[in-house]
Amino acid sequence: MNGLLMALLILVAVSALGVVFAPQTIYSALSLVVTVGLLAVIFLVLNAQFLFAVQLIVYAGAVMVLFVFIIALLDPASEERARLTDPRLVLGVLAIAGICAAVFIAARNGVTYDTSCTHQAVSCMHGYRVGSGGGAADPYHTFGFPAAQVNAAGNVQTVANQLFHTYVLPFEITSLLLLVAAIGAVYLTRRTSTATGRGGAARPARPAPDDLPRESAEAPRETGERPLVTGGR
Amino acid sequence: MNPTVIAGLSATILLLPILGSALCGFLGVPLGRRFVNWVGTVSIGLAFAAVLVLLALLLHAPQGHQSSTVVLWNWLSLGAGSNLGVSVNVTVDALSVWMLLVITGVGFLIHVYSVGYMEHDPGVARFFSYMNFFIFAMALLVLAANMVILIIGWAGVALASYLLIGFWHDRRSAAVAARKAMITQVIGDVALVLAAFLIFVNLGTAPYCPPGAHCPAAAGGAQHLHTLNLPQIFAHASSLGPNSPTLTIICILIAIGAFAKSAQFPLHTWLPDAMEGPTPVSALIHAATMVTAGVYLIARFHPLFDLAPVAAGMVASVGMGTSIMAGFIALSQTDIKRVIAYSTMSQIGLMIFAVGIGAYAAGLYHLMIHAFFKALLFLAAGNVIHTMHDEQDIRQMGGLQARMRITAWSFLVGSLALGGFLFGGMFSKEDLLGFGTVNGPAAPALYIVGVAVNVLTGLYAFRLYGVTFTGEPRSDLARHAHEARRVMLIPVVILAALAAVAGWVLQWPVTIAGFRPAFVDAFLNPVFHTAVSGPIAHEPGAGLAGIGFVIGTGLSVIGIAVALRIWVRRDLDAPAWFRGPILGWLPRLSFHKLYIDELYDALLVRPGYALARVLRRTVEPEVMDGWVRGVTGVATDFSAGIRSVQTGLIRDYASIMVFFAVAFTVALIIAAGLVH
Amino acid sequence: MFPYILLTAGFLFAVGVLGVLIRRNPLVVFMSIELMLNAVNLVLVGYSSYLNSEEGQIFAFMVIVVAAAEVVVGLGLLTRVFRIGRELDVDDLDEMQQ
Repeated sequence: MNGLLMALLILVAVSALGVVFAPQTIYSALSLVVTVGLLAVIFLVLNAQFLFAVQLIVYAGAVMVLFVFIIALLDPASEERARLTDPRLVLGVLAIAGICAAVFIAARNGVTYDTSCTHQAVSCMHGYRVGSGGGAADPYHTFGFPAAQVNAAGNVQTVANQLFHTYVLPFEITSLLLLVAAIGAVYLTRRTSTATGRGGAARPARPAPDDLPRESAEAPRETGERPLVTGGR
Repeated sequence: MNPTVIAGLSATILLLPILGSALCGFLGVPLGRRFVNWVGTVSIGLAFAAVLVLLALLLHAPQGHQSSTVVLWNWLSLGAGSNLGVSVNVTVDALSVWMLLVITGVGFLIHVYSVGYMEHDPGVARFFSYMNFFIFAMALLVLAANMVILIIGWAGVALASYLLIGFWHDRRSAAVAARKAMITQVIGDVALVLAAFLIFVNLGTAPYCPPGAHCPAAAGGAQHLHTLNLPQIFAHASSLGPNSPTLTIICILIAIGAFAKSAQFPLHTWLPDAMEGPTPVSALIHAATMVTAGVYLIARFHPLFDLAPVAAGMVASVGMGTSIMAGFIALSQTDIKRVIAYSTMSQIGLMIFAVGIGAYAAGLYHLMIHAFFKALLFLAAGNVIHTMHDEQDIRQMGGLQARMRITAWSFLVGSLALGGFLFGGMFSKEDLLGFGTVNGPAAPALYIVGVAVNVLTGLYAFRLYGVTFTGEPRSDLARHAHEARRVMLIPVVILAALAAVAGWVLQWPVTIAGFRPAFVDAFLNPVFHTAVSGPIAHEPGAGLAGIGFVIGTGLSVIGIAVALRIWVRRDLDAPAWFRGPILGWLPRLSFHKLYIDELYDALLVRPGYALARVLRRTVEPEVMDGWVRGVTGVATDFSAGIRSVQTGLIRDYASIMVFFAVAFTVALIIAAGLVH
Repeated sequence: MFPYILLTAGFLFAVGVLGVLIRRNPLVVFMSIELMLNAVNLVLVGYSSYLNSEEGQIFAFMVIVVAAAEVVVGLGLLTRVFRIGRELDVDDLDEMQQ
C-alpha cells in the first residue's frame, strides 16, 4: 500500500508540473485532468471513499469539462515560454523550494498544533508544538488505517453523519454559495444589446485614457463605434 | 403628593408642547392653517389645564409636603452603584408651579392671539412650531431639578428666542438681531455652565452622607455625591461656609447667566433689537416669560445666594442700575415696541433687585403681574402695528383712541399697571420696593433709586399712551386704523382684566385697618424658608411699609400726571427745557441709548475685526497654510516614491504576496529553531 | 507515509503558485489555482486519515464546492473579458494601476 501511495504521489507531482509548463492551454487542461484523477485515487487510498467520488464527479466531470469547453470557445493562442531570467520564474522556483523545505523540516520535526501550547517555552511557539506528533510513533513508515471503524460504519456513512448533523448549516450555506455563483455566471455571460449598453457588465469598452492606446484600438471590435479617444499621437 | 401623579402631570406639561411643536413643524405645511391654529393653541391650553391640576394638588398638600422631586428617567448612568450620572428629574413646588402658571397661562393667551396676528403670514406652521417648542423649553427650565436638565432648557429657550427673533429671516435686520441675541445668550450660557462645573467640583463631589446611611465621622466613611441634582446641591451648600469665595464666584457666574437672559446691564443690548420678531413673540418671550428666567434662576438657587451676600448685593445693585438706565432710555425712544422693551428691561431690573436682596416672593409676585400687563401692552401694541401695516414709529400714530376703543382702554389699563397706579404694578412693585427700605446693600440707597424709577416709569408709560392714542392722527395709516379682530381682542381683554384685578386680590403691600391679603407670600414663602436656605429679606414693619408705599405711589402719580400734562393735555412743554445747550445732552444720551451699542462696537467689535484682519493677512497664509502645505508635501513625496510598486499587473502583486508569505514561513521555521 | 503526503501537497501548492506567477493566460492561471486548492485538499484528507477523524474530509468537501463556484464565476468573467474585445492576457488587464 505504501508503495502504491508513493508512486501516486510522484505521478501527481509530475502531472502538476505539466499543468504549468505545457505550452498549449489544452495540454495544461489535460494535465490537470490527470492530476485531479490521481488525487482522487490518492483519496481512495487514504480511506476517503466519499471524496474520491466527489473529486471525480465534480473536478474531472464538471470543472474540467467546463475548462475544456471554455478553451474550445475562446481558442486562446499559445504563449511563449517564460524566460529563465524572468524574476517571477526565479521567485516561483524559490517559492517551491522554500515551501517544500519548510514542510519537510516541519514534518521531520513533527510540528503539530496544540491549543494547550500558549506559554512561551523553548519548544512552543504561537501554539505550535514541536517534537511530539499526535499520530503514529513513526510517521515515515506507518499510517493509520482504522480498519475496524471503516468496516463498522463505512466511510461514506460516517462522513454523511457528520455532514448532515454537525455541519448541516455550513453545508446548507454552500448551496447558497453555488446559487450565487450560478446567478453571477448567468449575469456575466448573458448577451445584451451593446447599442444601449445598459447595466454595469454590459457597458461597452470604456473610453480609453490617452496612455492606453491598445484598448482604444480594440474597442470598436465589439461596439461598432469609433472610440471616443482615438489618440492623436 | 403622589409621586406617580406628579411625574405624569409633569411629563404631560412637557410632552404636550413638544408634541404640538412636532405636529406643527412636520405636518403643518401639508395640513394647512386651520390644523396649525388648533394644534398650536390646544396643546398649550391642555398644558395649562395640567398646571392648574398641579396647583390644586399643591394647595391641598399638607404642610411640609409641598415640594416634590420625582425622577422621570435616568438619562446618563455612569457606573452602577455610584451616584454619578444625570437623571431627568423634575421639582414640583410652589416656585415651579408659579412659573408654569405664567408660562402656560399667559402663553396660551398669546398663542390664541397669534392665530389672529399671523393670519396672513405664510410661515404660520413654522411660527407655531417654534412657539410650542419655546413653551416646552421654558417648562423644562422651570421644572428641572438637575442642573444639566436646567441648562438644556436654558439653552432651548435661547434657541427658540433666536429662531423667533429671526422669524422673518429675509429681513437683514431680523437676522442680525437674532444673531446678536444668540451671542449674548451664549455668554450667559457659558457662565452658567462654568457655574455648573464649579458646583460639581466644590459641592457635587464633596463628601456627603445620604439620609439614613451610617457615615462615620472619618472622611473615608462619607460618600461622594457626584451629582448636579439641585436638592442635594442645596442641602450641601452650607458646607462651604458663609462668605466663601468659591460660593461667591459660583453665584456671580449664575448671576451673569441670569443677566444675559434677563437683559441686565451690561448684557442688555440684545433685547431692544429682539423686537424685530413678530409681536406675539415679543409678548411671550421678551416680556412675559423668557426674560424673567433670570429672576427664576436666582430664586431657584436661593440657598446659594443666601450664603453669598456679596454676590447677592451685586445682583441687587445691577438690577436697580439697569432699571433706572432702561427707564431713562425709554423716555425718548420712538419705536412703540422698543419703548415697551426698555420698560421690560426696567421692570425686570426691579425683579432682579428683589431677588438680590432676598425678597424672592415679592420679586416673583411682580414677575407674574408684570407678565400680565406687559403681555397686555405688547399685544395691544401688536393690534396697533397690525392695523398700521407694520408701522412701528409712534410719531406716525396718534388719535388711535377713537378708532380702536377696546385696544386703547386695555392699553390704558396696562399703562396704569406699569406706571403703578390703581392696578397691578401699584401692588407688586411697591411690595418689592418696600423690602428695599430695610434690605440690600447700603439700605435704603437702592430704595431711593427705585422710587426715582417710579417717576420715570410713569413718564414713559404715559408718553407712549399719549403719543400713540391721543391727539390728532399724524399719518394716513393712523387715520384709517380700525379695531382688531375678535380673536386678537379677547386675549387682550382677559389680560387687561388680570392686570387690573390680580393685584387687588393676591397681595397688598400695606395693611389697611388690619386687613392685608398676602396669598403670594403664603404660597411662595415655604419654598424659601426651608432647612437648606439661609437668611432672607426682613419684612419691613407695617409703618415703614406704609410710608414707603405712600412715597412710591406718590412719585408714580407725579410721573403719570406730568406725562399726562405733556403728552395728553399738551399744556406743559417740558421737553423745551431740554433743548438748550446746557441740558441738551440729556435727551441725546437717552435717544442714543447711552451710546452703549457704540461703546461695545468700539471696545469689542472693531478690535475683533482688526485682529481678524491681521490674522487673515499674515498668520493664515504664512503659519497655518505653511504647515498644512508642509504636511501635504511630505505625503505627496512619499506616495510618489511608493507609487512605482503599483504596476497594475496582477502577476506583480501575486509575486510580492508570495515573496512575503514564503519569507514569513521560512522565518517562522528558522525562528522556531527547527533548522539545526 | 504521512510526511510524504504533506511534502507532495506542499509541492503541488508551490507549483500552483509558480503557475500563477509565470503564466499569462488566465485560463492556465485558473488551473494553477485549482492545483493549489487540490493541494490543500490533499493535506486535509491526509490529516483526516492520519488523525482518524472525518472532519478533514468535510472541509475538503467544502473546499471542492467553493472551488467549483470559483471556476464558474472566473470562467464567466473570462468570457466577458473576451467578448468586450480584450486579449486573454493577464498583463493586458492592468486597469488597477489607475
